[in-house]
Amino acid sequence: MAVTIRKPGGGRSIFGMMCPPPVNGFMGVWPVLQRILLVILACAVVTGCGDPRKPDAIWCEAGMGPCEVVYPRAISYDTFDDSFFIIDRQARVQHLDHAGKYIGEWRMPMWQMGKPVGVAIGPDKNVYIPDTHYHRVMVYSPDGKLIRQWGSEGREPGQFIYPTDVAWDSKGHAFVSEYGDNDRVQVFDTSVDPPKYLYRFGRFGQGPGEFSRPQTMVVDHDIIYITDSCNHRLDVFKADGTFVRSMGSVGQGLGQYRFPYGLAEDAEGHLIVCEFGNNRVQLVDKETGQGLKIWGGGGREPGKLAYPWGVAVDKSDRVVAVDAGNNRLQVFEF
Amino acid sequence: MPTILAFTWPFRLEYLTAWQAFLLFLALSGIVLILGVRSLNGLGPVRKWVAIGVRLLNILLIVLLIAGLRWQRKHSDLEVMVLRDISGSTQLVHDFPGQSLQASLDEYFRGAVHDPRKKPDDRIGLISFNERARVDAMPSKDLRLDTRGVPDPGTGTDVESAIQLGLATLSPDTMHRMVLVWDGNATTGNVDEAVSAAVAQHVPIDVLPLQYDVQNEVMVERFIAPTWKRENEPFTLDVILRSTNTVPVTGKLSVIHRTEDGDEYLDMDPSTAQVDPSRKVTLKPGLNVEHVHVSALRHSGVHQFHANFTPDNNATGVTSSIAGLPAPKADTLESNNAADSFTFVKGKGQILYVDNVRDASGARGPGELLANALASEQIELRRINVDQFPQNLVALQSYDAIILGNVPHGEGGLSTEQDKMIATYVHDMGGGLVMIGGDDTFGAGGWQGSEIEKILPVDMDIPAQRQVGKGALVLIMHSCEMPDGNFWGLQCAIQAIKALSDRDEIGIISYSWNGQGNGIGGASWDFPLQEKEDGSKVLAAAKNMQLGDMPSFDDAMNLALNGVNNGPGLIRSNARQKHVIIISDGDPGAPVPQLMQAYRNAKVSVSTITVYPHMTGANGLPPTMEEIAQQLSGRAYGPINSKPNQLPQIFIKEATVVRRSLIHEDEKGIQVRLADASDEMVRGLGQPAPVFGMVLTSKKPDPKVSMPLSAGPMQDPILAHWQAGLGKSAVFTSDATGKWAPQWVQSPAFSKFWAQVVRSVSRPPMSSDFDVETNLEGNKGHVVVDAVNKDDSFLNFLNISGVVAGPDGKSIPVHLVQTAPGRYEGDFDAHAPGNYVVAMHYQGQKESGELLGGAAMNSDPELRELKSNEAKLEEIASRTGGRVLTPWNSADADLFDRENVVVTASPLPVWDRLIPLLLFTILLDVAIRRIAWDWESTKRMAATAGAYVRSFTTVRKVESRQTLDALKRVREEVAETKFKPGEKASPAPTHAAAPRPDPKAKFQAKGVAGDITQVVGGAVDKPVPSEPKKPQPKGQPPQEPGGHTSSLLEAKRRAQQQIKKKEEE
Repeated sequence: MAVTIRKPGGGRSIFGMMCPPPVNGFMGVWPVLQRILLVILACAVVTGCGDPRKPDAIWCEAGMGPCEVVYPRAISYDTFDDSFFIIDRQARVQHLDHAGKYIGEWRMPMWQMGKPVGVAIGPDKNVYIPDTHYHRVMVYSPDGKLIRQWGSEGREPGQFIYPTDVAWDSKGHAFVSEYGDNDRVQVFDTSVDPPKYLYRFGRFGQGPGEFSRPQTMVVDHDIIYITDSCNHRLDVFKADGTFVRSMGSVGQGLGQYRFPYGLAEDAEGHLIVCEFGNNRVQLVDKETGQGLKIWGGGGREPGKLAYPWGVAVDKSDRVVAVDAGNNRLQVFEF
Repeated sequence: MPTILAFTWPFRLEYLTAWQAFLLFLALSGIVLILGVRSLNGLGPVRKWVAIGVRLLNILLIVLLIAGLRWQRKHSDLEVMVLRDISGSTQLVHDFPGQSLQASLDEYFRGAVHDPRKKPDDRIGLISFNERARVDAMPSKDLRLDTRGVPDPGTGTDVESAIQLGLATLSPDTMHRMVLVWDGNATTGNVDEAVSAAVAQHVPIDVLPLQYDVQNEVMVERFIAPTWKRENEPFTLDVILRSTNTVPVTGKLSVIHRTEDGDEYLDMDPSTAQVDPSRKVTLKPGLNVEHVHVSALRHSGVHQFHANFTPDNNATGVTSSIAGLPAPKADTLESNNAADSFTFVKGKGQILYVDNVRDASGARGPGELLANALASEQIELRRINVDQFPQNLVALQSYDAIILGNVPHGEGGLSTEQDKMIATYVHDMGGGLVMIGGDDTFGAGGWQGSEIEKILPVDMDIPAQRQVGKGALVLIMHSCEMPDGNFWGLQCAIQAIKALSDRDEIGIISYSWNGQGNGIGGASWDFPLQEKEDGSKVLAAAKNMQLGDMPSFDDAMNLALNGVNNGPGLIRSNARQKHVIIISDGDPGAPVPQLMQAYRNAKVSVSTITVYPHMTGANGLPPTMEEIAQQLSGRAYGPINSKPNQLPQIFIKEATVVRRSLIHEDEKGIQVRLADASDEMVRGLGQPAPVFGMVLTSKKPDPKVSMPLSAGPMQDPILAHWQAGLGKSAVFTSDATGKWAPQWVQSPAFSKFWAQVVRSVSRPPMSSDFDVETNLEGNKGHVVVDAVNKDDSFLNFLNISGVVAGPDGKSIPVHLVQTAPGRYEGDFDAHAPGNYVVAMHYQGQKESGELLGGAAMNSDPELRELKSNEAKLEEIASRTGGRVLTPWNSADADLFDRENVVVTASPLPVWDRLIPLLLFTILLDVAIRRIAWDWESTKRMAATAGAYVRSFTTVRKVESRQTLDALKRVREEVAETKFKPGEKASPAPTHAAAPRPDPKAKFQAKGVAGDITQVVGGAVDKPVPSEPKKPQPKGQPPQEPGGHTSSLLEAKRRAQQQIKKKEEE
């Protein structure tokens, strides 16, 4: 029987450490382990892997070409085909695959007054874009064909002033957040065309159930989590508009926020909050509001963020942060 | 920059030539060789030469380091920069396939970019140019044309700046080619110089001709008016028209006389009784001259004329040969059918009085006192409001002096352009200026740092020792959302800073991702609130501003008011006036009510300026911006959606809010001191009465400044004047109304005083013995002065020089040389259309004086040439090795063709590779000389190492049980034989008698009783007494039977014996 054995007369490793004597036929195991450890150590030294501050990947760069962006401001993950949609300050909507490769793009029809600050993928697989400065919601197919739009400027039901995001509950009702001294969330039945206004909740202010620039929404089991940006907190509502609680305060600690703009949810049900003011992304327990982890910090180098606007999480729990001030997207895992 | 070369050798030396490096190496290596051959003999021949070789290698590396070795990395990608003419002359091009020329060019280049011959990493960029060049698209793999601004045809073509910008924009790590899309007609710049630069950098320029040849055109070629005429002297205007038609063309000619009271048509047919506003003319092919009679002009000053030709509908009288088609057009371009000219009419001088004096209710009226006083002194005066102030320098030439009565700088007052215009008028044109005080002028009116301040005898700032309450101003900058936001933000900040005094406090806040160290949230101090001092620090900080996207006003306003530890806010300032200016699109969130209340409590006012808002309320402003200004006692400006150049004016005005403390009022009266009774302005006026208010200024520290009247113990200027360049200026820091100077107004000397002041500064009358003629031809202006004296004899050897103020407000120096008896001539550059005013001073042995002339460049230089210049384009292509491309055939263009493109390379320094190599060879050098290599040992080590490595990599068989048993038996036998008791061991050198332990025996403690340490040693539970020290007898050296030296000697002796024994064996 041929087996691998350690060096005869050994008992001393290449590091000069005394090894335990071979016992019960395991005389060949320890050197093998040593070599495996050695290989792992060498890999770690050479590749520098394991630094949690560095992104796993950086997508896009400054410019107007494919996979190039100018101050990107919104992102949404398309669970149907494992891809992303992003919008930048040139009003360009780019479709990227799961590896950040360019699939296609289109441009908003009007942008002189301002560009959209949100994008969402509807249950009908279409791309919903709150056309913020034109006070309407635009619906596109994933390849960029305009399907429909609704809304007009105003404070009446069904009208918008600066819509920021769209989200859906389990019934398929669309929730549209808006600001501009008209801070509220309106709910629509989008199964009819034009979408039918159902109800609304929230108003401008600093008190419970009030908003100061609701920026992004996440709906989980008909509980709506909203980044209440200028109040530096997360607001929680039931789908019927009943206020549940607020989470967080202004600051830089865990569980504190400064201008939370982006919001997403990972597979474990944690909220991922993108903080424009603190230039970071925070992992938050959605039940307690407790901050769990932080990634980022102000800076230009990889692993740092400048004016982050949005965040998305894919099916592999990879977080994609919209690093607007650095004209890029950064991919990492908590 | 010699980075573009044709290479065969991939390395080059940066600091030394190859020969210098070679000689240096030769010199150093010679020394090494000589020393090495002599001193390394002890190493043996092989080691010696190896050592010398390594040392020479060291020398070579050191020489290469000193010489700056560079590796030339060759580039394979091609970068094409397209230079596209967008000037006005391109409108003459009609032969293009698309809807417009620009759309056709866009399509052409898109097609060229999608050429399959283009390599994936080739790049293309776009520069457009008219009288200036700008980058529309930086070079990229795909041409992006949808982000450029709206093309503005401009007023000229400067292809030199386009080529130079293109050369500067080309990336150093690619090969280069440029494509010039042009008509070949430049109005400014030196094309040949730029082409030479391209040739020097080996950049071929392909040309894509924009061809045109305008056949049916009528234009006003020149419009000639006499430079000077006397009052009531009739004269003639000459209109020269050119027709390129082959048949006569009919039309109407009219001339407008532009006066202060409005435009009026000249009578084009004096033979009739009525005024005929136009004349029917027939133009033959070529040049035509029309004379227009101008009757006697009553007013002195500048008289401007505007001529216009309008062709008839069927001007040629030719009908189309095809029925139903319109007749061919006689005129293609309308823009060159008009021209301007002007004439100076000599006569009695006139004063321009800009009256912005208001009463307590804000209504105009008190300024009339001064107007009446001057009129009573026979001074001809024109009184206007601020908004009626002339917009060009020519119009100012009608006046001998300007009086500014309580006129502010900036919004609601004179603009920065008008400020420059007045300064030029006084300093370069010899005009006079009087600035009279009031609530809104001098330092309190934003004139600090202006061009006018430079020509006034006082500074708007006051000495530091003057105890006057200071102001504090904070700028909150959020202009990043507007076009060129950073640029305009900086311009606004600069103007606001300039309007403050040295002792005023200034702070700048913006929002930035890295601003948390010196601020609240992302809002941070770009410049913490502190005294301005000389302004250099705050200006430097302003230039470093990075204006970020502000999400809310809360943090910024909180920071401005409350500050942070290392940057205190307004609440801790001891300034008398505290003010905040916010510039924003109004998108950030509103401040919380508590913060607004804190501002009110601290009496800090806030003004807002809205730029390019996304949303507006009822008053056209974002509600947030309007509410902040309303609630915090400020003003809300905007919305400003265009012409951002008005922004700095607003900042100037708002900055003066904190300068109100410069207004000094005293109900008891401020005594005025007569410092110099002989001064021409106050001569014969007696002791001055007190004033009850004034604006604090400080006399310029210049001996030329005269200050006949001062006030108070600090002798603040009341009246001061001086010579400013060719002109004179004076200030009166109190007012000319009953508010601050009631006793002055009531005094009978009031009129006399102001008449003396105005006459002192007024421009002297022009010499009537000189004839000044100014002509503009092409891009050059030509001035001719014919100088004769009263006896009609020539004046020779005069020194005549001056300046030309062009339409852009810049002054161009001009010097005239004598070309004939009494005749002097000079040239100046004139590129842009508009008015050119020439002001000169002449100096002879006995005579001196001022001269004024001027002319207007009428036709747009862009439309002067009616045919494209293909020859010029072909010359450019030929000189640079480029090609003449065929228009509109992008398939044949092959823009990314490598032909005639020089392969470029980037020199990369390699010192970082050489230094480790040098360190290694130095070590090797030392090792060769110091280490005696034992090759046998080396081989053994290598073998051992090899065996060690093999032990990890080879598979060995476990010996069979029989084999192991046999080995075991052999070992036991050997042991029994070797260590058998009673037998002699084999001879051993020294301690052979000592028995070796039985290798088979296991450890056994035999017969140990009691303390085991008695057997095996080790620690005991009782202290072990030390061995008693033997006493050393005094006077005797210590006895060491075997000392250290003797031991070494003994060891040496044994070693020598062993070596000897080995050698014998």
